[in-house]
Amino acid sequence: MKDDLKKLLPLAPAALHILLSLAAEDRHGYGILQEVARQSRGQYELGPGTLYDNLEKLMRRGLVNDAPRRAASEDPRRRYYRLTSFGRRVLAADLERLRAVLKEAKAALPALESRGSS
Amino acid sequence: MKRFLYRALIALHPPRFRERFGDEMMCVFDESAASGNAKFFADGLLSLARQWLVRSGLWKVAAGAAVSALLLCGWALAFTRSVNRSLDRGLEVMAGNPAFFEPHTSLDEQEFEREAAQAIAILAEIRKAEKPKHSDAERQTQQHL
Repeated sequence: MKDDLKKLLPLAPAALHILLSLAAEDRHGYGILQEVARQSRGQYELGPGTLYDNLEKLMRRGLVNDAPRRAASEDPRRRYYRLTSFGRRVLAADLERLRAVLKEAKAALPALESRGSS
Repeated sequence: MKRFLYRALIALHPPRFRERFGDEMMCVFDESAASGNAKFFADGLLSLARQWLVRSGLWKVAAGAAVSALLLCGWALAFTRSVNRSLDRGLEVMAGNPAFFEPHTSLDEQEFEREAAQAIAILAEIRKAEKPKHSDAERQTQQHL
């Protein structure tokens, strides 16, 4: 299973944001777009084409699956998506990788800054 | 109008993707209409290219066609070079042998004409020799009658 995890890492930015948006709760497509914009403070905006292309890939790899509809009164075209336990592990592994990258970057930053100022 | 165009853009996607996500993409478009969805067109066009060229495996067909075309061109080039080389070699052999350039045909024609004239003369002699015999026989038949 660990090998499966490694094969999927590093996650593409769109896939990382989508998994992150589904970490707290099940969401529909438009909800995911809004959550991604909120998380990135508007710096990363997904369009429906990119969103559903990535969702299809994530579903095929077993990281995301369909969730039941919340209310019958909702638009019937809306479908909800849910992070699977495997998807949660992949997300955690990628966040750990990013944490290590950030740590390295912070250690290297003073050296880079001093080179830039000289 | 924008909605119609976006629907048309979705309709151009491969059937597999359109049937699975087409309605949802339209739903997202409708829901985001208030907040502005002009960027969705660029995303839709990119998605269209990605779905047809990358996801549907069309790139494999295109790559196969390109490789086949390259192989065909290579084979045609090799064939042309080989023919040119053979022609060059032939010309070299002919250049090294002056007999190739002698007027054989005129000699052959003269010989042919001479032989033809001999043949005609022989035929004429044969006819001459046959004619009196024939006329004697005719004469005898007429006398008998």
